[in-house]
Amino acid sequence: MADIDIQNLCKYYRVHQKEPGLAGSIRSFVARRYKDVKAVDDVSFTIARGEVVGFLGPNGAGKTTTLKVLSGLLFPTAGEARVLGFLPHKRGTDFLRQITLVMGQKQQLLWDLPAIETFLVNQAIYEIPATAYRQTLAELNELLDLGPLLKKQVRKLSLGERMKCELAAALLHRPRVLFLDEPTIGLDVTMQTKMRQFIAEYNRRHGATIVLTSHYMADVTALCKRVIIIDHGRLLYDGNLETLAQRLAPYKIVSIVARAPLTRDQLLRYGDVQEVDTFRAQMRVPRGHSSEVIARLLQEIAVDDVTVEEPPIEDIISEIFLAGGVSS
Amino acid sequence: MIRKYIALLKASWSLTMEYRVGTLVWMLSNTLPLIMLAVWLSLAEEGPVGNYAPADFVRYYVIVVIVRQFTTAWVSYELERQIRLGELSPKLLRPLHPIHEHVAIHLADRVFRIGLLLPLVFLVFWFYPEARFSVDVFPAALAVVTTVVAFGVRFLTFSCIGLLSFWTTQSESLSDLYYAAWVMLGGIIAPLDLLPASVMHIGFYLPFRYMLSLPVEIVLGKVTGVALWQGVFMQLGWLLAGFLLFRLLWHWGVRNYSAVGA
Repeated sequence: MADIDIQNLCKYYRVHQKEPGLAGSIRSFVARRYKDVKAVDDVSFTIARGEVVGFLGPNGAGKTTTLKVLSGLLFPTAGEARVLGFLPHKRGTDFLRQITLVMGQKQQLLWDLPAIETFLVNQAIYEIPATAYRQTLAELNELLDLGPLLKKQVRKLSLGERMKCELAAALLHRPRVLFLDEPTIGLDVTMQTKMRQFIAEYNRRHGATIVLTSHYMADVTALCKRVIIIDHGRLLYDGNLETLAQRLAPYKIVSIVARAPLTRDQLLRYGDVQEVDTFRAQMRVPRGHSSEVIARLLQEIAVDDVTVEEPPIEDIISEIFLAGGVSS
Repeated sequence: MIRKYIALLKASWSLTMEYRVGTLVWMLSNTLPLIMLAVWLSLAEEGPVGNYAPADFVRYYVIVVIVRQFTTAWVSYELERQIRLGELSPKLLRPLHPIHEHVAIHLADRVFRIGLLLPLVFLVFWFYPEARFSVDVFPAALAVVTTVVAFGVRFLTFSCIGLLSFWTTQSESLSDLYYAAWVMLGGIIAPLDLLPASVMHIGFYLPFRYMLSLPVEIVLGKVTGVALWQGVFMQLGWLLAGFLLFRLLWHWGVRNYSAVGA
């Protein structure tokens, strides 16, 4: 059975419309006008146990709303969401003990106390037996290097340190399903990498199902084989990240550094030239022909260095948003 | 549940210790009863006011200060903030009702306050022997029980006002209004038996007397016989009403919260 199953999920918000200025205030006081905003609009998908799925979309696309519905903070306007067989919005104890939601900007740690105090409270609230607690804490300590942080007041930790403790607090009860909303927001590059390694390792060790949203494409490419892309509350793409690249970008990027100055005309027969800068050039070469093109290139031009890369996923995604979907 | 409470109380105690200076300053800044005491003492210089001679006022306000320290609650402001800023969201996802955290911090705070308060009370009676008094075991025990219930009434009704933040952003001003009514009708501005009869009559049915004045009246023997049991009955009634209203507001409020965006 799938861990997460949502069918025709809709979540609409009624938003109060107010015109600016005094007249607007008076008018809205007398007769309020409302508008329905479709944050999630008829979305269906299932996620199997142990999958790591990236949830992509621009700001306001409906990513966080979907995560909130799945974790039980919001109840759906229409359609159905099931997680581990439970209806999340009922927030039953058995359900809550098996999930976690980490929001980059909303914290559960007790601000004025060392993180270990929150951990102890969570141990009691989640009824974690002492041995399991010690074991999990030791494991989290090993993966996240918490040691010196645990006894420092939370407000005195740096953002990255706090995020590590936040994640540990959210995982002490060993949830089977993790919803991570922007888990790396505001972190520096090293810390982002560590976070990613940790998430991947947690998934590997415990077979946990993980849904994560992120603005950093590197999070997604490092962790998720599968991506779900939504915009304006509608599902635009659900499938393999690599296939997405192949389908939408039928080319690879070939960059060369030559020994003699290059000209655009000289390169036209190899591919679609994107950029020429004396010794350096970059071009798009049709997928499937790249090795043959490179072989020719190496014979005909004196080259110091050649690299072949997938086009950046950011470009592909923004092409999807521009086109408003992926044609199948 | 007991283990959960022990853990919450431990953390709350650490927090209370963390905020000890703030709590102390806050306790000392609660000077209104002392100001009122000074006002009433100056009025009583020329002769008793109602049944109150100066020593009676001292005794009354000492007991008011003690009961007040035990029954104080700031939960509405906390709930208001948590709801408005969305801090409630992570707490809703833990398998424990979020209100227990507030109960625990209020309880830990009580322990801290007793420690500070008792020496002060001894000092007052030391320097002002006229105000000393004796009290029988039964009224003393009943006063303790009604003080605990008074805290319950105050905590629950105050929580209800905080929960109004689920619908309005103005609940903070309602909290202030509620506080003002409590100062008037709870026995801080004046002992209730000095208020006009009509006000006392209304006050009998409102919750404010049962959040502060009732235990004070019991200790001082101002309410006895049928009136005593009527008072206790009304207090328990408000405790139940507060509890039911809290449940109802919580249920609908969280539904509303999760409908408009937690």
